[in-house]
Amino acid sequence: MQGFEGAFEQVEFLLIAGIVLVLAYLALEHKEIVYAAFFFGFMASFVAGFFLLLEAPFIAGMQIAVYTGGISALIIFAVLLLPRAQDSSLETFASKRKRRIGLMVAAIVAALSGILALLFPWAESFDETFVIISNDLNELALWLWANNGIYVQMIALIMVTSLVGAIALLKMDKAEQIGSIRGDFGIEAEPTIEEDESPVDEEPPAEEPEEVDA
Amino acid sequence: MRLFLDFIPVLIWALLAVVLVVVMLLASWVLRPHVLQNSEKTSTYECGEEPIGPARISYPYNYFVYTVLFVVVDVMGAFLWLLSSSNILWSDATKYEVVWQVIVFMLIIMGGIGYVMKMLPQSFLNGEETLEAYRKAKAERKEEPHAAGGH
Repeated sequence: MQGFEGAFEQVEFLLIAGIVLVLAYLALEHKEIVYAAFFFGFMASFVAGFFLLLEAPFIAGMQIAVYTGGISALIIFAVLLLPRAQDSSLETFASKRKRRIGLMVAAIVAALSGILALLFPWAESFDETFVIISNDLNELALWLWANNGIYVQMIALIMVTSLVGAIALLKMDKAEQIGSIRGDFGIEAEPTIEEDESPVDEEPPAEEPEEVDA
Repeated sequence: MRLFLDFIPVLIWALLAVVLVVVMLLASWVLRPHVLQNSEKTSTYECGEEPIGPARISYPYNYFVYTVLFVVVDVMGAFLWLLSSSNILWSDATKYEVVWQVIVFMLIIMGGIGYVMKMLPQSFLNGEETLEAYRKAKAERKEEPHAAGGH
């Protein structure tokens, strides 16, 4: 049974690793950005398979909830909010030489991380108590909520910081938009005021005309 | 490893879901009439209206807050899931200190969400504020010729 489980584990790991590599490549290289975002989500949920193999249920659940759910939604929203790039210069390398340099750097990084993965004493580097904690939800909850509650409160504060930051960004954006009512839809369009020689801003009008006319 | 084996029913369900989608797509391909595709057939249907402009436009940035809210609630849910899958909230040794941790955690996050709910309407570009800024600029411009001596 032990031998079968060991072999099964190896096969399982190689299968998940292969799927993750293919999905990660698709997420990077797919032409349609929305498809790339979906491939990223699938890749994140397959990474949870690694954590299940390592018997870490909380990290696996966190991976699926936060990465597959949250970060994928964040990426899709970013796609919605940004204007579509017409001709991106990122798609192609400027020259053959730059392409070769890029491939060489990628190969060096892959080789170095492979050497590190083989040489580093992973098995000895883990604290045994943490291995037990990470495998058991009850132990982990005791460690995180009862013994180290400050970590949870810090996470809550970081979350609140992100919310306040998002609101601050929106307020800055709004102030910018209100300040820039010039040109065709601004006061220059008013016929009763005679035109002077002051230069009109080049930036496009930020507000709908019907609100100005009201 | 044992944990992975526990999740094999989930994998079987996932496989069934994929099979269901493939079967439905194949069935609709078999059943539908294969007529010639033209530009009228392949154009986007917008309630009978002629589609104007591209579909991929940039949305107002304000909607970004909703996804940040979603991520915050997501992370909060993950930590509460950890709590709910353990017995520390009803074992006598830990329940009195953990309940305070939970209350403080929830208060911080709910405070943040409440702040966003309060500030979100103010972050939208309001027509009245635009009008006010416009009127102010107009009044300033009317003042300008008198200040300069007038022509």
